[in-house]
Amino acid sequence: MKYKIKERNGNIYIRKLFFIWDEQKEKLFLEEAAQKHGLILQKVGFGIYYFNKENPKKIRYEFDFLGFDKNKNEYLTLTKDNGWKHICDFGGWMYFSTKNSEEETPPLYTDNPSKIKRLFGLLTFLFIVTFPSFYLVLISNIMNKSKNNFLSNFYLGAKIIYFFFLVLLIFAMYKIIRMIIKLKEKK
Amino acid sequence: MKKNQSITESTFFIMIALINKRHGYGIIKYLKEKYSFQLGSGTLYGVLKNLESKKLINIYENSKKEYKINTKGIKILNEEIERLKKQIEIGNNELKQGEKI
Repeated sequence: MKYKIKERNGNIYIRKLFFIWDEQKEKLFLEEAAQKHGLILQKVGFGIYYFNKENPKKIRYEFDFLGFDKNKNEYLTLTKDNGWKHICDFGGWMYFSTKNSEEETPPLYTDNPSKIKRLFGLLTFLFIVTFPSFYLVLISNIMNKSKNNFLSNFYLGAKIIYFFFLVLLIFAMYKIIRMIIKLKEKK
Repeated sequence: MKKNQSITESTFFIMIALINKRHGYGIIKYLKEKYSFQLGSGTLYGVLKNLESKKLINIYENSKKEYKINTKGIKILNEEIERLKKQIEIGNNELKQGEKI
């Protein structure tokens, strides 16, 4: 996998953008960074990963998304007890790592029905997020009501941004539906 | 859970583990040690939430949340065991008949 390791003010980071459907690629990238370069994930931002430099080691990563679930602490206790270290959160995603083998610490999801359920949860969340964008881009005529040129341009700009956001969300939902179909075929 | 609807393998094992009161990690440990059944925390969390919403388990708020299957849960578990027994019986009978041909 191609990436450039950078350093600024003592912070080691890699700029890389993964989308929701790139989960496996993101895991491989982080595992490779730890095993080849000893870069251990500390923090995640938009398209940026911060690391600590240690000796190269084998580390497994997992991500999870709880959506609207309010019992995050309960879930974190359970994952911690099972050998997963909670590293950080970004955009509703929780990042976990473990040095243990799969025998000692199994993946977060160990059967297809629960993997499918998780993806359905994600799909529902995306659908709810998509709806306001859909409204703003396709239904709302707020732009037409404004006689002010500046506001009119502002609304047009916002609509264009929302349009790209909407396309991305719809594509993400399409990818997730394909992942669900693949998992259902494996049953 | 609807009648005649099968439950997933993970749900079945979790319900078995909850015949005795256990906390989350206790379930994982018990199933791994006794039945070599590997259970992920995400899978367990989802099943517990589902069992809780269907009122098939009781929850005890101690220092760590503990769970135990209730009467309704036991009924569902028994129905599942009967369903599995019936499947095994059908399978065995059909195989025996096939051997005779």
